[in-house]
Amino acid sequence: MEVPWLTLLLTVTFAAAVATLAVGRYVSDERTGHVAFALSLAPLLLSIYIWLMEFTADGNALLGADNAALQESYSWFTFAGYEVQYYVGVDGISMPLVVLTTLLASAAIMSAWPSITSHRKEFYSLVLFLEAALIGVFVALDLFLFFVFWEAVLIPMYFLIAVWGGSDRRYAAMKFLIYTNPAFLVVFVSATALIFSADVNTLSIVDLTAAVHDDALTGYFGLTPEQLKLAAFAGLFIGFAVKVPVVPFHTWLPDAHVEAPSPVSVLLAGVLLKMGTYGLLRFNFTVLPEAAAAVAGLVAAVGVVSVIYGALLAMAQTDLKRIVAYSSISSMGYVLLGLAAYTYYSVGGATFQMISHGLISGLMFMVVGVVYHETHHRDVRELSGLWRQTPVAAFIFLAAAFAYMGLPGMSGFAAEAFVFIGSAASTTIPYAPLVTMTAMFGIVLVAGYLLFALQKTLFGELRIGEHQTAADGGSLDVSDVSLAQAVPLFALLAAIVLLGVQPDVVYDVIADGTAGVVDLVTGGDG
Amino acid sequence: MSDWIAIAAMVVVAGGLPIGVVLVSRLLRPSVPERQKQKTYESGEVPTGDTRIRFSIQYYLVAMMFLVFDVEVVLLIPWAVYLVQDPSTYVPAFVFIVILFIGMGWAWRNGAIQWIRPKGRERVRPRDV
Amino acid sequence: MVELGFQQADLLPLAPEIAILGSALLILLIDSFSRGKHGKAAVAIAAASVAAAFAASLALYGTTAEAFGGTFVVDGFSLFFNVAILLVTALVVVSSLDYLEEFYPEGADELTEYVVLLLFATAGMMLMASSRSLVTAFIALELAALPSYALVAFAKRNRASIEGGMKYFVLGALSSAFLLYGISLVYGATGAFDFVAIADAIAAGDVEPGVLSLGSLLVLFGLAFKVAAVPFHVWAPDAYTGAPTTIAAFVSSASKIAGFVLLFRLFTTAFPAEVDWVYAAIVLSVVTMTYGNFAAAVQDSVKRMLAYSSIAHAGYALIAVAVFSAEATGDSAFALGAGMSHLLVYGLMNTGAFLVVALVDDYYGAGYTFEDYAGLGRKMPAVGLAMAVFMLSLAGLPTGGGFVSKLVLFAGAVNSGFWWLALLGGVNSALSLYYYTRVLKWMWVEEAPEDQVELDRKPLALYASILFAAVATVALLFAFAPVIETATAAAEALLE
Repeated sequence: MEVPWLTLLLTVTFAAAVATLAVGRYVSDERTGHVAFALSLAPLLLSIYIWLMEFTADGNALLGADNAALQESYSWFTFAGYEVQYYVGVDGISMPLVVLTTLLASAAIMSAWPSITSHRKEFYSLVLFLEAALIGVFVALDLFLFFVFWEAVLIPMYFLIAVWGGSDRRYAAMKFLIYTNPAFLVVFVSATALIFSADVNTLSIVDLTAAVHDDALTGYFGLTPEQLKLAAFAGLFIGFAVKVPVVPFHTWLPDAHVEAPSPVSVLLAGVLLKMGTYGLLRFNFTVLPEAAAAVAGLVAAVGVVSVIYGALLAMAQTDLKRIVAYSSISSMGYVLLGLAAYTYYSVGGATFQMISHGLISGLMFMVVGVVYHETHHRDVRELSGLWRQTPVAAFIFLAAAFAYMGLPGMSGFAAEAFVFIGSAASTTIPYAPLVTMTAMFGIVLVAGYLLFALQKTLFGELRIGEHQTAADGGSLDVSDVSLAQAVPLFALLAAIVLLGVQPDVVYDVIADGTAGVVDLVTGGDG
Repeated sequence: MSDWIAIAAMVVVAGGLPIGVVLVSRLLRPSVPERQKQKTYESGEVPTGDTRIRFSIQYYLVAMMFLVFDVEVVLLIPWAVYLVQDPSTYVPAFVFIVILFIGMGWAWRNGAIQWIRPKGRERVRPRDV
Repeated sequence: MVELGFQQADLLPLAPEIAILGSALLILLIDSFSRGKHGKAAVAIAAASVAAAFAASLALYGTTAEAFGGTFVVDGFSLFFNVAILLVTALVVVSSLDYLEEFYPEGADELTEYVVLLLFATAGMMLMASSRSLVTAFIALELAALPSYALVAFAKRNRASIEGGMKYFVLGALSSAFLLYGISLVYGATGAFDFVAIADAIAAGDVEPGVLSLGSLLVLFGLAFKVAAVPFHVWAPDAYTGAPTTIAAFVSSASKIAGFVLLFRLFTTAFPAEVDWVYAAIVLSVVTMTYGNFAAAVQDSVKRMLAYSSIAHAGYALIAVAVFSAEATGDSAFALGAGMSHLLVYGLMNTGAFLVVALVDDYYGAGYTFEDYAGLGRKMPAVGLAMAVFMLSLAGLPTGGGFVSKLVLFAGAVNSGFWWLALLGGVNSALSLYYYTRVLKWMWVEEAPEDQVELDRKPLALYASILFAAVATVALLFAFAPVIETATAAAEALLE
């Protein structure tokens, strides 16, 4: 009998969330985190098992009905002759993202043990709900199902920020909702306009892609099919750009990051931002390749602006979380550039960058969370010489920063290298080498702000806020990373190094999924 | 257009007649001003107080019930004189009357048509004015 | 000879309405003998009759019948709305058991009157769904409205309740005048009361267009009063706030649904799209949802916020009116079906939300402002969770059927070329997140103050109603198929 693996994965994750809430009543408060972590291992192990043992796809899920692996579809409801389905499946693009989600969720739960001290069972339960919704986003192949999961992400996220966040958490949580919800509705209107003009009878994204590519479009109320494609591209782009976020739609992100508790920031930067780029890749660049190729130069320009502007903003920050938040904006700019370039390496690299940045920014936020939990400071001006006191945390911080900067041997290097190699040879972007070089300048800026932060916080005399040791040394009452905290940190670091040394492990899978996207534009010689 | 002339003429006559009557009578009649003539009722009835007083809510209850049965009569008379020839109309007429009687009975039992405050339940006593 | 006798064929399709009216008369009969001693029994009878009417509506589904010379029709459309209205009535009737004595202790022995009025109003609303003649529609509307006025003012010693009832009555009477004048003009122009006959007369081209336009616009405005569309909404916030909260739930849900039924049927069957009211519907929709949302955002009282939110939802439902009428190239049955589904889901969510207010504000007396809800989510997690479901579903997040129905409604607008109306609705719906999550913020994020009232009693019926509404709302997210498919089929049949 066929095992419905993806439904099983979703169900297990959801059940873990409910179970955490239920079990949380019977175990002591401190144990809740342990229980939640143990429960979160189920989806993690299951997703890894699915990838290793069951996953067989070697094409892009949208470019052929049989390309996605582990497909399941059941009718949900019908409206206006369109069938809405529960339709899931994974391909080389979504499978790594699913595993990234389960991995980061487990890591985030473990890293939350010391820092989350109130309403623990609700917290862990919401994190697991969030995980389930995120998995759903990546496995959904039906437009409506995708939307359901997309919006479902907002609910746990709102509460996670609003209840457990910093002093300004209510404002940040509200801002997060008010920014991302209208963006979704723009996506919704654009996508439905496309659906209604296409010759399809389901809301399956696969069918929609086929219809658009076969030019089975009728136009939409005065728009010719060509104009509709461009209009839909614009709407989808704006909607997803808010989630990525792309400059100038980025202002919700720093607030959300700074106010969110660190474990939530891990998921926010690690996975939630990838929803935006995933949407761009799936819809803008796969469903509408012609429109995408037509405006690739503009998209690449927006990407480069995000890279540079995000990095410049990061340089101006002194709050560690804000630095990492703005650097995320910068890193996502590379993804945009890679997608717009439409070459095998650039699109594959952009997807690889999603995974890589997920791991690195997750690690970064976790280590910042450790530092903040121990010292109660996040401002680089208040911290100094942590190397002496907390060598393990400092080491991880250093390693994560270097991964961000693109140190060879770490995944960031591989991802950026792929993107740059690909985009320099792009045929869709005008002046591709020049644009690529401008984007590369972003790496210099990253080094600028991260080295500054490292130097300020890790080296020099030991000082935390008002407390300073005597000139001859000594120590402050700050402890290093505990063993339980070290596990997720080193696990993520190991993954980063693995992907840096041996990117093929993931890149090959991704390339299977992305090659077809490139062929849509270049006709096979990207 | 010519149709409308007749109507316009009618409007003129209809408006002119009362005005004319009032004017003519004012010209012809002797003027004998007297205080009694300014009273509300020419019958000599002396008004007691204002009309803007609070009526007991019971007036309204009675009025409403009167209205219900007034309308009932309007509906039942055609039935009684004409439709009664068709036996199939007995049932709806009967149902109609029964429904009215249930309402009437309920209102009666709840003291709606008892003028003074009923004993026991204080449902429809006049509001504390 | 005129055939006035009851035919078996006439009565059977009206079984749901007859069940409701019959039980109302039965309760009056019992009360005539026992005088107020059997309030609980009255509730039981009412609940049973609502259940029977519900079952009858479901059983009748699939039949199409005319009664009383075509002035009533029973079809998928009317049965769909019977179900939606009866769901609301069921919740309100059951929850009244606990609610009334808390909100209005002197009125506890008047439970029978309360229930009877509810049943009469419900019957009126159901008859509105079935009317296919302007005269029967008007009578049904008055049958629905008059008990509602009395119910809003039911707490006779409560100034707010009386004020609300007064405003509702005066403006309701005004709207009836609008409606009657509109009906008389339509009759004058077409010489018919029957919706189909009106459409035939218009199609024959033998009408005075100005008189017809004015008449249909006045009818639209009269019904806009009933559904509380801006600028005909002024009665609604005061009436909803002053009324006993269960009645606010009833009037803002069932009465609004009933108003929309009549709008839908009248404007699909009687008036073709050439008449200018299409633009009026679009303007009404835009103004209503925008004003409702902005006004809801600045309220201090949760109940008043819900009152304005229900106005905003009238705006969303009006999208369906604007869209199906525009007869663009899209499938107009789709937009109408989407609007119908949204109203059904809205009935559940909105009633549930008002019942939570009834519990917190009136039953426990915790207070009416947002601040008074502080920490209540943790004190009564089941109700807090239910409120989260209602609020987020009303805002259009996937905790319940509200998400699907709202998106399908917007999709209907997109389908007919009104993508900008859908976007506008989307912006509004995002704005509504602000005030809906505000309730949740106070319930779940803030801690309870020291001096909060004790929540020691557990009102079983009220709890049951709230939880039923919550479960049904969530269930409709998954089991949306029967709702939308039934609604679309009914809409298709209506538009043929």
